[in-house]
Amino acid sequence: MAACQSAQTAINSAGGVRGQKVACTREDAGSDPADAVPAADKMLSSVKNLVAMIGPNAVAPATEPIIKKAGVVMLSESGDPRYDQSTDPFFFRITPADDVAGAAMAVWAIHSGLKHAAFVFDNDLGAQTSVPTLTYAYKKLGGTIATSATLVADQPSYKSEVESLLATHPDGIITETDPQTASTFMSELLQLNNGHFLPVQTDATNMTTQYEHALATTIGNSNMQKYFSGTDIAGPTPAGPAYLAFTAALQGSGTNNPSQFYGQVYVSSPYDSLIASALAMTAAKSSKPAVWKDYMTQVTGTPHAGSVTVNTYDAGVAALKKGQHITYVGANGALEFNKYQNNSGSFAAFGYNQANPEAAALYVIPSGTIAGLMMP
Amino acid sequence: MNQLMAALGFGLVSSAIVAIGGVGFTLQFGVSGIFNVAYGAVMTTAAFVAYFANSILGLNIWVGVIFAAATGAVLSVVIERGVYAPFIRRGSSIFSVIMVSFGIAIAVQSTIQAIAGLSPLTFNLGQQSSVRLGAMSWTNNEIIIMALAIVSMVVLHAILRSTKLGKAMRAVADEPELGRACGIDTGRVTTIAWALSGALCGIAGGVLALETVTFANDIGANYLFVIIAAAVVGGVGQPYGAMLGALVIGVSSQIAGIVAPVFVEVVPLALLVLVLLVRPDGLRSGGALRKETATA
Repeated sequence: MAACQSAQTAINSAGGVRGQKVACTREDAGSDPADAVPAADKMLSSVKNLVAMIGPNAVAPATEPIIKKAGVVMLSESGDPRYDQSTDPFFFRITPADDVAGAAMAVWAIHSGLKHAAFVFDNDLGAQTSVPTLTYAYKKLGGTIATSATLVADQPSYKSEVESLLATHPDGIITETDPQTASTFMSELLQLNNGHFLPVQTDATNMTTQYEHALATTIGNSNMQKYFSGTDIAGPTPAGPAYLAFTAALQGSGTNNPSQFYGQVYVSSPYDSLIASALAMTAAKSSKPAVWKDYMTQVTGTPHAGSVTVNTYDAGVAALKKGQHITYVGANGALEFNKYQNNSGSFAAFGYNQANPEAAALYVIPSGTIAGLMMP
Repeated sequence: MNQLMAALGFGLVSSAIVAIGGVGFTLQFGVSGIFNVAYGAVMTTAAFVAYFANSILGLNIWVGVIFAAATGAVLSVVIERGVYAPFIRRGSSIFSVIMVSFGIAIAVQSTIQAIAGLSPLTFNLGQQSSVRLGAMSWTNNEIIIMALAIVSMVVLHAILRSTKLGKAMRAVADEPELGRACGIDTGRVTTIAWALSGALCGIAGGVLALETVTFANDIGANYLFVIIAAAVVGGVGQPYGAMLGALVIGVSSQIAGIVAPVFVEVVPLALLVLVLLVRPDGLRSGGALRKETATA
């Protein structure tokens, strides 16, 4: 709700959308389609003048057809690759798909010198989603795969797998597993490689507190800091008018402890998409989703000549009132929707830093680089 | 060849853990005829006790494993006396008792979750030194685990073959009514058998958690299938069969892991199906402890 409430604050403090105030309402969709479908139905039937829905994300395939049928715009953070080529005109994916993370991992691996890496993923569907894109992008960038192992999660030992991996002499490991699997595997790697470790890269969303704690306990903080890094969707850059507007809106929204959300891409992304939606409504001179949805790509994208770049809602409204074309670049950067209305987004690589978890990115991977590495 | 020898070495560790757990499981079934699905939950409880003894109380990890064994023994006896025995006295079917055991498993696992939470726990073992024998490599802890398995098997063999208690267990397993007529206190013998098997279950839970390093409240449930497979491959109700089954499954799983990691989980299942097809009574059919009906 922090994203919606902060966008509501920003929009209403600038006079609302074409003079109408906006408001947020919430339904708990849970993570089960059996809960999500009734929740979506309830919201669609009970909320007057509903213009857009953020999410549901984990259960998007169950609710997206209902929301499409109702003619309401869906701003989704679903990572499901099924939406890579979405044809739903009301569906906008505002954060990169899960499989895009594979391409980002490949770029970071090659950039950091891993030219002959071993891929180690567990057999969880979430982990496997990245593998085809990673494989494609890594080879396209000139990398050779030492070995690609799919681990059965949570086994008591992976020593045979570790031995097989070491026999291929990889220069590093690209991995995504759960904390238990990672802990067992990495501690055995350390043991069987005579106390020497290898560079390990993972999807940073995989580097949860549990993951970091388990690994730091088994292989030690110094090994974590020296060898571990991860790629993640680039968060908001803590500078500039868009970021300042975002943090000010968060502070004014009544959200509890707003500063905890300042660096959260999963708050800044929906905030940006709601501001863009409000600007699309203003540009379309209509709050009907069937009308303004077509203006989303007109008020977003890469800044270009002939368009005024705006970073805040009120600046966007002011420019539109002057009859200018605008490109909204928000707290999280530009929203670059492709023809399937997927925002590719940029990524960044981060190291493990126990003392400073908010440490700056080691390397930023532009969305254009990733777009060129996606499977045809 | 080196990888094969290394896998054989790792397989011996896996076999040791499966053997400890498998023999405990099959001993319970052999003496009381109960297919105790809650066995995995007792293993999990024991794993948590070993962890807390080591990481919270600061005790040596092997003292933690002793605590785990004691926990397994006590909890198993409580479950057998407090839950299974009343059902069996009432003449409940084997199917009913299995369903009850599912209920106990869920209740125990949920209790652990309520107390310890969902987050995985990690043993702080530090950098472990290794012992090498050719291409085979073991940590000091793994050598102790293998030694523990051998000692457990020898002690159990001695009890079953050379003591009155062992003879009584075999008698109760073979023909409980006849045993009772001969003056054997079948209830007491069953309780002792559950305490023994529970201790093995606790040791298995403790050493499994140690070997895994990081574990959560599903560790026993996840591993139960391998233990059951070892017991069935060896012949359910036969401790010596379970030892053989553990060796076959532990080593073959690790060797299969060289070919493709996903086969690690496939091998026990494939062996289980194959043995049930070719030798329904297990590789070592006709052993000491075997029966098909439940007794209190």
